[in-house]
Amino acid sequence: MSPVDAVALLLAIPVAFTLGVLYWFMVRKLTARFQWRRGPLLLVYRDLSGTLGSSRLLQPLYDILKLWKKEVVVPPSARRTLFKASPYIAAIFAGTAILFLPAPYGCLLSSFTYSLVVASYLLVGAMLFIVLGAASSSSPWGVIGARREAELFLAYEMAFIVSIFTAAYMYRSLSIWEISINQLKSLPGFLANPFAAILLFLAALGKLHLKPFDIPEAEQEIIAGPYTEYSGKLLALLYITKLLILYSLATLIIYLFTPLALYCSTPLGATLHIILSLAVIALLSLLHAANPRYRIDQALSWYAKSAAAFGLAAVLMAASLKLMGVL
Amino acid sequence: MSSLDFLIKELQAYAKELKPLKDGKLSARVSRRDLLEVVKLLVRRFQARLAFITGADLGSEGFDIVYVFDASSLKPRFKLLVETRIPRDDAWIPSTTSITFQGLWAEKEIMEFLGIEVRGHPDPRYVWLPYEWPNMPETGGAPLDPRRVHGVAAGEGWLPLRARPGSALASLIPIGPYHPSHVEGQYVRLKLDGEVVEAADIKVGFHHRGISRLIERRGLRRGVLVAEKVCGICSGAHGLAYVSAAERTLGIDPPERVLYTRTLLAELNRIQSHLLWLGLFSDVIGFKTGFMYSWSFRERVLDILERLTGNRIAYGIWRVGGVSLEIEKEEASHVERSLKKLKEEFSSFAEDFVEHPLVKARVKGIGVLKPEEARELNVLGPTARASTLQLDVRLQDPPNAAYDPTTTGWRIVVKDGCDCYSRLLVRLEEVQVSLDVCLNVLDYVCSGELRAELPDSIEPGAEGVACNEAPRGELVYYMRIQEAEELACLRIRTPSYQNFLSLAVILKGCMLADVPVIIASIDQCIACTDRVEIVDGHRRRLLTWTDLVQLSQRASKREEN
Repeated sequence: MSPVDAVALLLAIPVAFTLGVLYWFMVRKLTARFQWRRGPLLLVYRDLSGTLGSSRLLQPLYDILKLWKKEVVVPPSARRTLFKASPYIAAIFAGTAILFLPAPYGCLLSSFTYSLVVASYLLVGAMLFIVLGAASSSSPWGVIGARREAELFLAYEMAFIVSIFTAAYMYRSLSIWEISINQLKSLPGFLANPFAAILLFLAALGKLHLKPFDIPEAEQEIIAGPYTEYSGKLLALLYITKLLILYSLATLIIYLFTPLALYCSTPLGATLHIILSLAVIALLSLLHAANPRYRIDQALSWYAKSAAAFGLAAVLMAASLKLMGVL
Repeated sequence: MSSLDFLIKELQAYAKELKPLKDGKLSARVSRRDLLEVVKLLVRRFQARLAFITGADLGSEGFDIVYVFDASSLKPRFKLLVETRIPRDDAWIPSTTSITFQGLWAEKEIMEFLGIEVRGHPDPRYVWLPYEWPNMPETGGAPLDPRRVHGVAAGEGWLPLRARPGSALASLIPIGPYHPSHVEGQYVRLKLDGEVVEAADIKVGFHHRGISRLIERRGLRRGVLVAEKVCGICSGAHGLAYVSAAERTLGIDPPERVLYTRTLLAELNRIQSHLLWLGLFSDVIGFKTGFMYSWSFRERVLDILERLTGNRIAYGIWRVGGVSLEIEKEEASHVERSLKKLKEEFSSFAEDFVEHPLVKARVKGIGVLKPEEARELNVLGPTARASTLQLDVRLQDPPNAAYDPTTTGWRIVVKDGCDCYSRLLVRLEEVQVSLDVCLNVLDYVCSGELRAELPDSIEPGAEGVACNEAPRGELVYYMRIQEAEELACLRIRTPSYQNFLSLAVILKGCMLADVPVIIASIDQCIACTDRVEIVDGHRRRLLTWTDLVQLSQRASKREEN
């Protein structure tokens, strides 16, 4: 590994985190604007700027920093080790997944032959440890949240896997980087197989707990679900995990289906990467604002029916394109 | 012979005394021995609804227990007060629960407020006091019936709140007293099998401050200013119910302009209350956008109210025999313009809201309350009307305000879905009806008399009962005069108090995710039930008058900048 590559890898997580903060700001801002609210202020009013600063662009970061300074309270009846270790492991999993995805300034480890498989498994691992931590918290809300998360996980993970492996099948590779290169040689993914692209988008809604699939965090029913008993540094770590997952999913959607940002080492590529991610996030926020929440059984049957239909269409489309020799 | 005459004839067999009240209602005095027979006669034979049971403490003479019946099947619909006098040293009454469940919670209130024993009551647990309360204060530490403290054993229809998860053989989920889906403090405990609710129990009474006593102390005329502050959401309904009760006790007929002005205020109040509910309902199904939109509509109604009365929440315009609000012509036309605009925008929003596929998926077929259950549990207001019951005070026994369908355009809204979706439809349509009513009555509020003459002397012992259709259902005020303008007793039966009963029935068998939706769909108002005034509940510090003035001055300064 050359020193340049090493520096690129070292930079990957800070860059992903910064972009995650920016993206999460976008989710909050856009949702607020759709709801006739202001949201975090991009330009703070003059009379408030003395206390709030000139911009609240980094509001998600401030939230994390605030939590970081706070005391960690562990419920006395919780399984301490698992409860305390889970957020760290989840954050490590999410952070490692970043390394296997293309960054705005380079392809990092995404050129590795099995990067798609590794990245998707690492993302699964992060979710798994969030569930484990909640289940060991001994709070009824945490346990119900974990159960809902696990149930929903089975549903959206199916959509996720069908979608990414359809892309892998179409472009004959399990490396994210190669998949995006191959799209340039034939058809770009979102044109060749829009079903698979939509499917990945729907899976992202579930993974990020955006409406209508924010069931594990349904505040009105189960307080904060898996996060109910978490506080301080541990909760901050869970927020960081969430930001990193948001970043990874946006990146995955772009590189698997819209190869426009392929030249990510150039300034134009980096800009395109960020702009496309923001577009994906704007769509996610729109759905988040326009929908109420499904009940868990409705969400499962929705994924089982609608998402399965999209999945079937995606697979059939990929197969027929192969047969016709387009790809 | 009309059915009413028939009823009176039947009653004469039991009643020691039948006397008409000032507003045409009838008061029958029976002995304690015949009480259950009379209740059975009225409920079983005449299909009367036991609207309320209350009591007046007469000092050494004992207690007067008053049963308010509402015979809606009779023509004309009839309100009947059945009263019985019981001695102080032998203070007990038989429970009516063997005949109907309509008085279940009303009897609990009698037990707690007056210390009267209700024999044969199936659930004698406290309503307002905590269950751990060791004894009744006035008994001076004597041991109590343990059933009052610990509740009855599991398996008798509800779940005792003190049950432990091990003994209940299920997961027990506490919702409350303070929970994100509640607006105010109440405690619902659920016994779950997986995500399905097996049993539910409800405890209220976390805010009780005895506001009815405060009203009694202020006397007949000034009491209304406090009565209005029983609730911050339906303050108009309380004000109107109070002045109606007082006017009926005194036998006053207010002039027409007063009636229409009251209707305007009461209906604007209903609109903002229903919009507030719509916001909370959207919130519990996770529809934050719907919440934001409906509350922004509500804000505009509050602006209209502020422009008319100077206040947004407690209007302070209700007076016994009149209103202290003179609406000018230009004011009325301004209100008309704003209401028309609001109506247009709200209609399209409501249409989109009820047709949203996910909203339908979340609320359709959820929380079914069958009509017969609704009747048996004496459910009121939109909850009853969504279960096909034609139950609306404005239709059958309007308060002292104008509800003539020909001039105001008011009509009853009834749906037959019996579920949360129907409750949503009923409330949304009521907002539209109320907007129409407000627009119609604006023609009548600008000219005429604003006060009726009060009688010079008031007969001691005069009593009156008045109902008003509050946003959540029938609100009953019972009032008895001691002498001059002193109140011997004032009792308030809020609709939410009655609607709570139905929760345990509806919640059984639903999913955990639907629990907040169902609780919200009933739209209880805890402040009404517990009768509270909250002073800066968040910061837990007392604000002095000067602090409040300074705060409000600072707030208005900010706006000017």
